[in-house]
Amino acid sequence: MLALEGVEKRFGALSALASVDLDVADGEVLGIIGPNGSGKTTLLNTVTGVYAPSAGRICFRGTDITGWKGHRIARLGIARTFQNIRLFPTMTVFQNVQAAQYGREAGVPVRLQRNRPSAAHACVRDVEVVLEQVGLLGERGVLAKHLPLPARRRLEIARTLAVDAPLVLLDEPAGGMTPAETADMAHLIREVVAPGRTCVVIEHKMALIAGVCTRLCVLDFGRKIADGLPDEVLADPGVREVYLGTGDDFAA
Amino acid sequence: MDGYVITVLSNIGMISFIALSAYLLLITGEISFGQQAYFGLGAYAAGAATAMFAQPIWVGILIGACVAGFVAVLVGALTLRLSGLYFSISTLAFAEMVRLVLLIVEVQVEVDGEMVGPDGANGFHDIRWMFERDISLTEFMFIIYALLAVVLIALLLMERSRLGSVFRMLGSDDLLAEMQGLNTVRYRILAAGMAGAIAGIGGALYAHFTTYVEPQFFNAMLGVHALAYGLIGGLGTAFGPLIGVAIDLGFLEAVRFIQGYRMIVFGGLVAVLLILMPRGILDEERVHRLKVLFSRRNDAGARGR
Repeated sequence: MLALEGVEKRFGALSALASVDLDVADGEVLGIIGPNGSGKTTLLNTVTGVYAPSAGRICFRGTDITGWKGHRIARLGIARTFQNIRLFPTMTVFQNVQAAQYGREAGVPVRLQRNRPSAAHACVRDVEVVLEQVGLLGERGVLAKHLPLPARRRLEIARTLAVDAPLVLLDEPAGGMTPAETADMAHLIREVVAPGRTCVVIEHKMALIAGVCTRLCVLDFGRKIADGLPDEVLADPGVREVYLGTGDDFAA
Repeated sequence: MDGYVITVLSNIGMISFIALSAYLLLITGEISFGQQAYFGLGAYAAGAATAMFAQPIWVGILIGACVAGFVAVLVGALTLRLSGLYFSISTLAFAEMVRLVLLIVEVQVEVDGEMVGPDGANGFHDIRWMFERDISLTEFMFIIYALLAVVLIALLLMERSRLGSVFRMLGSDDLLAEMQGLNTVRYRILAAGMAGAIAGIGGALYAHFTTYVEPQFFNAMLGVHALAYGLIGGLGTAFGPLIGVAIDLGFLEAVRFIQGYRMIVFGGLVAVLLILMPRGILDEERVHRLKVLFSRRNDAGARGR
């Protein structure tokens, strides 16, 4: 599905990603963990075209997308969420999900908003069905900025479900959530997002990682230091050392 | 209606075009200090078409809009990759360039034994379409408002279309729009072209209303006012900038007892509104609330039947 070969990203003298090789297989849920500043979000940003990699190659379903602009990569079928939650605050919940589909429609979008997507774009799903799936149908008319945090994160997920994206990248989907909310999010990812899609999940909360990931990879200072089944990776002495002093994460 | 009222109303109508032009860019998140350049280009191009080449005014207005829109697309392609403040400064610089170029351009042709055309710092005289056709000021005012209605309806429809939503997405979160598959640079250039054309229509009308234009009129103050109208009236709907124009030209300039204090009151109003209502009187949230209110009423009405 996604293949990174020797991907590097440097910001001046700082090396945020140092020669990362990563293969994401069809249908798996890959967790990426690592201490703050280890390059997790930079990795997502490089894959989605926010930055061009300084070196290396990124392939998505056999297409070399290295250096492509973000909108082309998105149209090819990669959807993502954001660590700091990005929504259109003065649009309603419904409009936020609908707006995620506009970029997938061909040509200049002059159709009225109340019209449904044209039949030629069967790849986009019905907004109400998606909102039902994430449990936000009741809030469809609420402005996004009036939503509480867990609902905002769910709305970001709804956006990725509304388009035909075989690869979904989730950046700390349970960030800032209570344990109960985290469990709900894990359930949502496992039952709704993961089936039929390939997922990459960045997370600090082990409760979420353990609940959803089929494979786990650890980044530290921009390098991949472990990659394998979640139980094996977490038992790895090198990984434990990296996480020393952040043991709270394991307890959570 | 006396001549004064007609002149005030006509000015409100013509300046509304440049206010809508600046508004269109404001909703896409771009602050342009240079829309007066397109107003000026529209005025000169349309004036040239009717006064120098004896075209009907409709052709003149069309040419004014096309020239302004075309130049706006070119300038947009060069400057829209700049972000925030850098873009704003480049628009101001470009507009000043246009003004300075118009100060030295002297292209005149002989029409009925007289030399007609842009005459550098002396301006562009004798755009006499109204007199030649015996069109009264009142009739011309109706032309202005008919065209304003066309542009306004087009903008309101645009806002209900996906394109309107895309423009607001750019203004709200550029990166997010890009991440959702939208070619943000292309849409920004499209918005710049549309905004340029709208300002060009206003300029074309202005040239024919006053019969005389000079580069000095298209200075930075006009552009700053155009921006302020949207910020006062609100960025939630295309009616917002029109409210801004009406407050400034219809009230502050036209009412005699505050006439001398216009800029003081206007500046103060902008400052107060930016603090209390940063996106104007009719901002996105209030427009949303109004829409909810109206749709509830409609629902209730439908049930009542």
